[in-house]
Amino acid sequence: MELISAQKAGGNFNKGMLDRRILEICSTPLRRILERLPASIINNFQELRLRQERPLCLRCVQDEFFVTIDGRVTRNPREAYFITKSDIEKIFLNLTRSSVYTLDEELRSGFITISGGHRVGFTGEAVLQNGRVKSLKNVTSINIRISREVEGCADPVMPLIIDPVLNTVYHTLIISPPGCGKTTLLRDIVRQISNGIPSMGFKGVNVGLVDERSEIAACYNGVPQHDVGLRTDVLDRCPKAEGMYMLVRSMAPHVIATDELGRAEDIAAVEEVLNAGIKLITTVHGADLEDIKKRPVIEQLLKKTLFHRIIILSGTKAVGTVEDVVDGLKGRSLLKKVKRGGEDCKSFGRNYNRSGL
Amino acid sequence: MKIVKVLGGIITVLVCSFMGLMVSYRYAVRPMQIKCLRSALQMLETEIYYSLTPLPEALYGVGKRFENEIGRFFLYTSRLMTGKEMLTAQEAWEKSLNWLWENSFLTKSDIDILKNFGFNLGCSDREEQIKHFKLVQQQLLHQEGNAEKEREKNERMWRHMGFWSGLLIVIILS
Repeated sequence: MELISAQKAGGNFNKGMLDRRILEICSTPLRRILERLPASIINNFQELRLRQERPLCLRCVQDEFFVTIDGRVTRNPREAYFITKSDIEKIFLNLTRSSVYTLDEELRSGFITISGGHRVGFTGEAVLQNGRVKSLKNVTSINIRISREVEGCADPVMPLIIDPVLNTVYHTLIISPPGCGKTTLLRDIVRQISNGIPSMGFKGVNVGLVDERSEIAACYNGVPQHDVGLRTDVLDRCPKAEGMYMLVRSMAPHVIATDELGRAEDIAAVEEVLNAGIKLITTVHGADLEDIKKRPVIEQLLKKTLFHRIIILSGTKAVGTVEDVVDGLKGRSLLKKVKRGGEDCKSFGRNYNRSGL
Repeated sequence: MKIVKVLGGIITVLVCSFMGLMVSYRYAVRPMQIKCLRSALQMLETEIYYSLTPLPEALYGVGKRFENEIGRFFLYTSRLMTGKEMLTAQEAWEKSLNWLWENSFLTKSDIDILKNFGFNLGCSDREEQIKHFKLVQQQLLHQEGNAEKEREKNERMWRHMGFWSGLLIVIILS
């Protein structure tokens, strides 16, 4: 129990204060500006956009602001603080701890996960070797994505995806447009089935997590920065298909969770997982069922009716609105059953607000 | 009165000899320090190229192995990068080079070579880093050769010169 609370303390934010671990990587002028930001903004923003010689930009859920040199938010880009070359250079060196040579792989993939689980993506000039990207140099744009854990955000959908009789979960697919809380939801589902849900009489099971983009567990030096549960084994930065095979062979998980299915080789891996009797929870980018059917790889998966539960998210009302939960076998909506529980069941947006987002 | 004179003479000779020894020591130590610096950089190169150790740890590991100014220089750089200051490798390197300049017998040209090397430290990929290491090794080897030549020329001369000049002063004054 102590372990869990310690993890929580590490993962959570001081309200009204930007995570120290983000401030630490910023250059001094930038740090001063960010420290002056009003708490209402800090609790809400998702992305910090830094582009050389262009205004400092904050992206909130569905809005965008510029920031002036004294930490005010504005909509007029001319008033904003313009990011200098030295800001970018300093951040980049801090990010890599002045050891760019240790990060060849990360530079190729274009992002680094920092302590605290925040992801920093960047673009610049690609260095090619034999026609393939070898590394990046002259970085000019940096995007710091604030990562927030929302514990309990999966509560509304949990009753629908677990099978209390057999103490197992259904094969589940989460469909969502980008930035609508897909990964956050997946992370909380993983945490809950890994820890167990006493109120539903669900005992925790072993979960294998293939975290190709370091988003779910947000590992820093291999240690998960987010609470992904007591019985979760994380394969960090591992290609999905290969990772799924590895987990089946090595860790005997009950459930395998992974993010953003979409490549052709993923299908074979998914089938392998299912044939091994392992439950699968995964996500895919898309607006709704019709939308993802246009993608041949996903369509193939859907045709085989592999997924028993399909959760559709949208960001129309708030981040992480559960539009619908579909029974993949029968093709009908399951949400009506829960709706009786009140509006809360339908969206975890309110929970989001409570957690300061 | 005579005792005072003799005593003064002895003191003069001693002081002059000591000064001469100091100067000759300077010439003797510089090649050794450059050599030590070269092997430290060689170790750092290995850490970077083969073990892919991040710079602060690599610098610390190398610094630990030398119990002299060179070792302390590396440890200091590492501490500047990890401590409260959170300096980048370039800033930390430059700052601790100032310290090295005051606390070693390296000349301005040695320090300049290191300074130029510092600009590229850690901010490119493995292959690129190796090139910079090769270059700095070459330059330092050249410096070492020069330092060795100067030592041969000057070390013995200064060691004796101190004593003889002291004696000369005493003879002239008495």
